[in-house]
Amino acid sequence: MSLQSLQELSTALYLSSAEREAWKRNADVTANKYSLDNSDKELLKNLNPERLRFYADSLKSKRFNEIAQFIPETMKKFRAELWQHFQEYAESYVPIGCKKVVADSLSFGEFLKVANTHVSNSLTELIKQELAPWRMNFLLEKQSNLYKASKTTFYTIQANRYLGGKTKIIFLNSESRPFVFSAYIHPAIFFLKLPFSSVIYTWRFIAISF
Amino acid sequence: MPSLTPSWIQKLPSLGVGIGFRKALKQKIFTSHTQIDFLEIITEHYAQPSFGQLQELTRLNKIFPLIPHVLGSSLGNASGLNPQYLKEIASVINAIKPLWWSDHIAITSTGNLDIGHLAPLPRTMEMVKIICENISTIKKKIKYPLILENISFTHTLGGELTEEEFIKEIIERSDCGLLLDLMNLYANSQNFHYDPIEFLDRIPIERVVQLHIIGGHWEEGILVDSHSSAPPARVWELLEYVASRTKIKGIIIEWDENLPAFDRILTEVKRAKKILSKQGTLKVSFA
Ligand SMILES: [Fe+2]
Repeated sequence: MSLQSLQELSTALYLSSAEREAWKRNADVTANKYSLDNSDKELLKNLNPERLRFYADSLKSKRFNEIAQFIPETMKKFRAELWQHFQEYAESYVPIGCKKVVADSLSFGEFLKVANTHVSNSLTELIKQELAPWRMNFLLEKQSNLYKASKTTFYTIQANRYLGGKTKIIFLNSESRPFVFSAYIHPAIFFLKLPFSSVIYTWRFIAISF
Repeated sequence: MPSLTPSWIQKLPSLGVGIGFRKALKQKIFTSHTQIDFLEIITEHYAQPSFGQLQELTRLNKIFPLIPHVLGSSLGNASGLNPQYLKEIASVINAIKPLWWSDHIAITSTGNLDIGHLAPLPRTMEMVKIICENISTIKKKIKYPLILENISFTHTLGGELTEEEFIKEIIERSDCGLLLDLMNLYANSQNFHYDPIEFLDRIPIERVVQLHIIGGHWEEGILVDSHSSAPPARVWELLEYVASRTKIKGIIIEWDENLPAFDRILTEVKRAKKILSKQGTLKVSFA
């Protein structure tokens, strides 16, 4: 139990500059806040504040560089401004799980929409565009496994046809950056079953009925 | 003198020298596949895979022996392992059916908070017990041999054990192999002022299965293991030393940042292969 508290405390010190400041001001108060026992208080004394700050900074830069793959253009044009906002954002939200980098990028995009400090319009527009395919991909993946099974998806599109209405299909290239192609498909195309049968096996795609 | 190396490690085949699979290198890796003996893949990248990722993994698995490397299981987590995370990495590793797989002696998350990188553990016997329990949980889900990596760190929580004793206790009690990262060792030896050779003499070197080699960079007087440059001379010396002491089953050049021209990576692969080739007749593992 006690090591658990020590780990929770050290994690808080890694992630929050406010916690680090409080700990530097009075280590005992911080230790008591996390109910550390005496032996763990001793272990905590080994932490070097400067080295801790260095580690915390490197965590933030690492996270920032990781999300760059999802917003390359925005990074290219607005890197300095993004970094400023990211510093604030990174302390307010911490993603978790195997897909945490996508989640982090999307929630950073959301953060910029409601940020207290000024965010340039062109930045918000560009990041919105770049994150759009990832957002759709991520949300749909979270909601359903349908899109993982190419055959099922194909039958879904067919079913959509019988249900009436137009079908919008968005192709996502999951090999590299997503390439989005959207089109209104005339239902007749499904009778031909072409060219989608080949597309299905090399691309992921999402079908939305209107 | 009889070998101290456990028989399950002795029986593992030698894979040679490979590289860490990175998307940016994908095409070059395929075209140069005859020069690369095996690949290390980041397991998490293929968790809940898309169709494209599944195709990629299947193709890679056909051409190369793959060794899955896990980054975020947080083996040292005193509140236990995340069952969902465990399930996801297990499904990838069990699908690959690798000769072995690797994880870290570290923590990456506590409760619902993800640290975002590997962080050091307090070096206490209580911690040894916790990590061994977590390893035993993970071994029930993943039957392939597990090897553990020494991490680099810029700060420490101390503890009653030295770093070498801590590694020895964990590796031996959990009957794991060692993934010895020589750059991590070199960086720690620089940042905490000790002799890396003495370190190597004190760890169970006979349990080394695989090595990581790469270079880093200096920042604010700290040597950072950023995987951003070629292995420095001292790392090559450490490799020669380890190779003279135990049979190495595989070496991975772990380049992540500042990726150079691919030929440069292949040059490092060749250099490591040359050192391994001298091992052909080395039979005795002794610490
Ligand atoms: Fe490594």
